[in-house]
Formats: sequence, structure tokens, C-alpha cells
Amino acid sequence: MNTQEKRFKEYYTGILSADDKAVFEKELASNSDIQKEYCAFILTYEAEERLIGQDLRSKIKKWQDQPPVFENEEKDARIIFLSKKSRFSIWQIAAAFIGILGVVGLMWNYMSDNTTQTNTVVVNDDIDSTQLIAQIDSSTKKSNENPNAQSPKSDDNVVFNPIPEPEILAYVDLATDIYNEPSHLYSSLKSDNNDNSQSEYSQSLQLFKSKEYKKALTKLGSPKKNEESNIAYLRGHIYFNLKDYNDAVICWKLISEDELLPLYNEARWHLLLAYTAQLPSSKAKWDSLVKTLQIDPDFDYRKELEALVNEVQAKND
Amino acid sequence: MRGYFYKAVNTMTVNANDQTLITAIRSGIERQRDWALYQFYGDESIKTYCQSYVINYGDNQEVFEDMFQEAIIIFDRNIRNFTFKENCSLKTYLISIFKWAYIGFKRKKTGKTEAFDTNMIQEWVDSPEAKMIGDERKDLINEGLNHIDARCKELLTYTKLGYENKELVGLMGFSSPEMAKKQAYRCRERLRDYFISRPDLMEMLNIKSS
Repeated sequence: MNTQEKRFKEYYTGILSADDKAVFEKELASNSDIQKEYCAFILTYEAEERLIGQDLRSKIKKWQDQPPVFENEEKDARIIFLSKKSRFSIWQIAAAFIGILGVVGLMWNYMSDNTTQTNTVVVNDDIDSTQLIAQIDSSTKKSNENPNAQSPKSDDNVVFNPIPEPEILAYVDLATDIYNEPSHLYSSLKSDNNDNSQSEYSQSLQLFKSKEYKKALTKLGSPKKNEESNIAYLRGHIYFNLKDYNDAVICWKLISEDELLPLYNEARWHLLLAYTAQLPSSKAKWDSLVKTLQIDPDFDYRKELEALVNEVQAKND
Repeated sequence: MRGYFYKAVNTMTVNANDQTLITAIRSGIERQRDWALYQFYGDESIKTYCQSYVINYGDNQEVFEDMFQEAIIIFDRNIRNFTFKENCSLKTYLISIFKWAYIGFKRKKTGKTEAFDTNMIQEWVDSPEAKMIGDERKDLINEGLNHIDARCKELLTYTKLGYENKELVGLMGFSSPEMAKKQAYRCRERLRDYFISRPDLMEMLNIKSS
């Protein structure tokens, strides 16, 4: 909040000192710019308070149905003071734990890669001249979803796809390797929202989290005009995981065009990943977006961008 | 503290327990704020007093519940915004707000307030609470809010409540505290720009340019 806004707030809430109040009122009476700014401030301020009021109202409604339980609130609010030695020990334990997790993660990753490789066999089909890969998707075995729903060429757990050119495959691999699931969205599962569209969003997010992408997409329904940005963002992630990069681009591009949206930066980064997966055909768009992001000081994924550009260049060389 | 009711008791100050509750309401920590507000919402002595007040003036339980909810919202707002001057107990303050809210309701509904003390009515008319409760600006504000999406609304609620940017990272899934701060600023600017763009802005607020 800048100095002017602070003064507006103090005047509006009646806590400005008498002298300052007189000066402010004189300014307000003579300066139309200040009048306009002050009016916009009041409405913005009231709008924010309205939001808080709505939030509190929904809480009170819940309290009426079920009184909340607050366990040891004052005790929880206490600050725990630790000596330097104790803090160092905690850091040591935390570092060791993260190290172990890392090793387990790497081993898990290595083992799952091997499993996928052993499940892939090449089928020669004399009738169809197109060479096919029959890929036994072990993930669909575990999933309860019906793979036929979106894949007309599927037969039980065996999915036939035309072999893409190795170059294309390499870019898809690169994009999916760098891609991280949007775990930052999961925390929003905790924040309740009574709005129906939002509860569908939460359910879809939950399904996405458990890697049931098709179900998650069904839960979101078909894209609507003026869709909420968080829904479009999630939809983009679902498409990306379903390897539908075209639709992922459509979802993320919409958000990436409006810098006022909260997921603006995240959407731009993922849009670039979707373009990466579509390389080399999307090269022009990819180049253009990379250039934009490289010179944007507000872009949050600078390190990731640098790594991606290096990887793509290495593949091109 | 401008209420008639307070003038009668303005020699009192907040006690230590009230101070803890005020700190919790201003803390910007959801659980602490909820806990503090519930101490008042769940207080049977306050409820019983307010309920009988409404019934004495011929209204029912439903009116009491609406007014009590409204009072808790204003109470929370005034404590957060330092409008509450801490020269009486919080219980007294909440009851006074409840009475203001109820007078506002009566004025709107029947236009009759003879039964209330004249000073109290004048205090009500002059109070910011009156502006807030009976305001015709509500439509304009709602229009403005329709120009921002649900996520922006959630973000503005949290920032207005004083949540720290690093908390917003976990709560709303931002990639960094800086990003949360930037987005909150953008959302707020979007809202402000909408209001600025309204040609009837100054008329709505009854401010005349010189």
C-alpha cells in the first residue's frame, strides 16, 4: 500500500489525525484527480471487505450446522525457541531425510523405467504397412478407467500407436521429463469453496492427483466460454498428461495472454512445455515464446527455462 | 467508538483476554481468527441478550440471526481496521454493533425508529457501518467483483486479511511468495481499474468535483 492509499484508508476508516484530516479534505475538495483516486480506493476497499464478509458468512453457516473444534489454540500459537545447536541438529536430520527420499526416488524412477521398457514389444503387421508399436501400458492395468473411452484403436490393455519419428519422440520425452505435476494446486484442495463449479474443480483436481486423467477431464465437463483460469489451467495439465498437446496449448495460451491472471506465469511455462512436446513443428511459436520469456524480469521459471533451452539446443546440435 | 451504548461505558478498557482475541483477529492466521471470532459467535450470553432485544421490538429469530451475522462481520472488520478504539470490552462493542445493525434494518424496512433513542439513531446515521450496511453502492461493487475471477477473489480475501505471501504459496499454489504478491497486486489493480473506468464513479459516492 503506497502513502496515498494509506492516507485514503486512514481517512476513510476515521483514524486520520484532526490536522491531517483537515489538510486531506482541502486537497480532496480542490483536486479532481485525487477525488477520482479516492472514489476508486473506497470501492476497491469495500469490494475487498465484501469478499471477507462473504467468506465469514459461509464460515458462520458452517458453524451453525457444526460448531468448530479448536484444540489448544493458545498453546499452538506459542513460539518455540530453539538454541543454535538444536536448530543445527534439526537441519542435519532434515537433510539426511531428504537425502534418503532422493535415493529412494531415484531407485523407484530407475525401476519403473525398466518395467516400461520390458513391457514394450514391436509387432509386425503384414496387412497394414504402417509399423506399429504395441505398448502394454502398465499404468492402465492399475487404473479403473476404461482405456477404450478415448482410444478407438485400443484392445484391452494394448494400445496401438503409429510410430512417431524419433526426433518428435525425443522432444515429447524432453517435455515430459521436465514437466512437473502441479503439486502447488493440491494445497487448494484444503480451502473449501461452496461454489458448484469450484467443487467440481476440487473433485477433478483430486482425480488428477490420483492420475485418473480421463475421469478428471469428464468431471470438469466441456470447456466453457470465459472459463475460470484455475479450471482452464487444470484442464491444460490433464490434456498434457493425456498427451493431447494441442488442447493443452489452447488452455494454457488463454491464461498466458492475460497477465493479470494469478496463474499467468505458470501457464506461460507450461505452454512452452506443450510447444516443446510439439517440436519441431511448433518451432516458430517455441522460439517466439522463449524470446519473450527470456527478457521478462517477472518470469518465475528462469532456471527451468535456461535448462530447457540448453536441452533443446543440445538435441538440435 | 461512536455508539451511544459505548458512551455510557467508555470508561472501560479492553482486558487482557480481549487483547489476545484482538491480536488473533488481526493475526492474518485463519485458524486463530476463526477461533477468536467463534468466542463471540458462540457466546450464549451475547446471543441471548441480542435475541431478546430483537424480540422486544417485535421481530423474530430469523431477523436476529441475520443481524447477528451482520454484526459479527462488521465487528471483525472494525477490529482488523483499527476502527475499534479499545475503550470498552469486546462484548460491549459487539452488542453495540448489533444494535446499530438492527436500527439500520428497521429504518430500511419500516422507516420507523421512534422507539430508539434519538442520539443512538443519529450516531447510527453518521457511522461508517450505516454506509456499509444500507449502502446503494453494493450494486457497483458487485459489478466490479464480477470483473475478477474466483481465484482473484480468494487471493484478495487472503491478502486483505493479512495473510503472508509465503502462506499464500502453500494455500493457493503460487510458485513463490513474490509471485503471490505480484498476482495480488494485479488482481487489485484490475478491480481498481474497473472502478476508475466507471463514468458514474463520483456520482455514486456523492463526491462533486470543484
